[in-house]
Amino acid sequence: MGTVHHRPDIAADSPRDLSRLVGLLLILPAVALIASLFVGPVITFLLRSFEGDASPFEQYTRLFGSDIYLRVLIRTLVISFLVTLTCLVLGYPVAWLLSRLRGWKLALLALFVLLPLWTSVLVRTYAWTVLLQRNGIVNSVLTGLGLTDAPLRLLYTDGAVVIAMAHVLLPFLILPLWGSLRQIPPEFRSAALVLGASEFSIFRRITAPLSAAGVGAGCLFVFLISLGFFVTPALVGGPRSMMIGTLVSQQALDALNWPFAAALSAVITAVVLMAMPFCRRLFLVTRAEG
Amino acid sequence: MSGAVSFVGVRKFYGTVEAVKNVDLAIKAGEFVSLLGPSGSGKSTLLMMLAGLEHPSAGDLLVDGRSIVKVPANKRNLGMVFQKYTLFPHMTVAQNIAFPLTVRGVSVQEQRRKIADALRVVRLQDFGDRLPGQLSGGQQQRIALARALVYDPPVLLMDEPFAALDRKLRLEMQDEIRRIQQELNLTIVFVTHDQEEALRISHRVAVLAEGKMQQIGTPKEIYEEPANGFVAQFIGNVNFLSARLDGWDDKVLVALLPDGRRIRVNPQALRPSAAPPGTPLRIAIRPENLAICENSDNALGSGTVLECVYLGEKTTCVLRTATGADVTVVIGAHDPKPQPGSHVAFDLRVDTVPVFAEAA
Repeated sequence: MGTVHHRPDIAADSPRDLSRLVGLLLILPAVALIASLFVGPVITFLLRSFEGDASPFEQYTRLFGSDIYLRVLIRTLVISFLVTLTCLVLGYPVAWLLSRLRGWKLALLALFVLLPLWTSVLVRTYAWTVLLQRNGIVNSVLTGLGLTDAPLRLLYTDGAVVIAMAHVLLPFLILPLWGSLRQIPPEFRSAALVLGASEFSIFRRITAPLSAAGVGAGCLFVFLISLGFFVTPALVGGPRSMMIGTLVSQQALDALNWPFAAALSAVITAVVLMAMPFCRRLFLVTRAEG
Repeated sequence: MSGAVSFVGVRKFYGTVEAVKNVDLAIKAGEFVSLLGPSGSGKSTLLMMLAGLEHPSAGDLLVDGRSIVKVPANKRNLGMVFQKYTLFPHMTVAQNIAFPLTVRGVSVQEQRRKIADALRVVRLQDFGDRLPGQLSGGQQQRIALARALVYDPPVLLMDEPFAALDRKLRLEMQDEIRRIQQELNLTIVFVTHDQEEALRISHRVAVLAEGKMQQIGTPKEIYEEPANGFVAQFIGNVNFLSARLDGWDDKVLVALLPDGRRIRVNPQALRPSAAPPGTPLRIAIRPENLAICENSDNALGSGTVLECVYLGEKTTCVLRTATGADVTVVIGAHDPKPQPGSHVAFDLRVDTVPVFAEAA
């Protein structure tokens, strides 16, 4: 757009400027609250990562100098990726079904999707420990059917962490994906069918690309929340599958090493920020297509 | 030539509601047939059944003599243009047109040639790289048409494709589809609720109401010899007069009006054997067959002018007669316009009323 649009000089009391002023006043309390109680403390906390006896980067030298911490960081990324993948595989069919249902069937399925969100994460995680423990339900069924001779070790493994986290985070993938699938007009399917497309072609060439933005948004939600997840990995994962959230809490609350906890938090925040441009691109694509 | 379509005793139930009642319709190859009716007449259901998106509860559908009822929609190889714009928004115009070719495994080279041909037919040669969102409604429907034609289907189905366009564009698109139909010698089944559109573009019009076929005929037959009161009223305007059958003059019916005047009427479906003198009649007269006249002595009737509406090429006046019936009369562009509230007489412009009488 090469042209510059000169708006006629409007006095400050024009309806448009007034509504802008009202808008600013309306968001002011929220901004003040977030700035004073969230942004401020976070920055103060992250700044503490530069505290150290020898140099301001002492905490970071320690973090990147040690195998243990890097392994925790990499495990966090891998587990978050696996959780995201599990959520996508489990969640896509559900979101697709939600987008096709109407009436009471839709209400019922939506209720099942939303129900976990109304239950405490702690309760759901303890439920998994009951399911997965040595003489828990899963092992009882497996031995009862004769599939295994001795109970399997299920709890306190990476697999348990992935399954339990995927269960907790599934709604965060299903909801945005459902939203984007619902926007695809049902006429597209009819048109594609008459044009000769198989169900597989319709999915591959129409449904999948048109829901890509929803997949992206949902995966990003799940991945980002997974990175900082604390309760579930701490309870079903045990010490050998420690994730960075557990490590931060350990450093801050048990070792009372706040600067090191801050450095770990800074690293994970940096990872999240690196994902941001990708996130923006996804939303831009949605808008161009919508 | 291929592309003949037949509906044979087709019925469709939704629960206990019969949406399509025993419809028979044979469409010749290369024929342009409109299914015309108000909403709920079953016209769209008939088209959806042909496309394979709905399934008949009874009866058969034939394309070139072969039943397609058991063939799934994606194997019927028919072309279809929908009312809603159904271009896929994430594909360019060329990719949209390529879609039916891609799913048929046509080579890329062949695709390129066919896409260029299809774009030429709809006169949008330079639009291949655009996205559907960058096109106007009319352009989108042209591309949808190109996409429906690119794989050379024997029959093209159109479900109110121009209903969302403004009037001028709609007329343009109607001319366009007629030109394309003649150029490619296509069989077209066209669903519309717009009687003017149906008369304008079709070889034959099938009028439907409440799931039942009312009449199948050329636009002229449908307009001038409607089979019943519904068709007469749905296609254009019509005045209904009550009368009694007076007698038969060869094949023309003579009706006796309440005031004692006799008029000659096209009997349509009535036969002398079934309609003896004295049978109560309902006579339908088109407004353009009536005129305002000076002398009320021998006139068909008279009434008070309620209103006159100027419509450009003509003016229509509504008169209320002594019996309380409203009669619409067309006045030529150069005739004097009667004043509302004045009392005028009206008479027939023709010897024999072309439309029509039925037993009341």
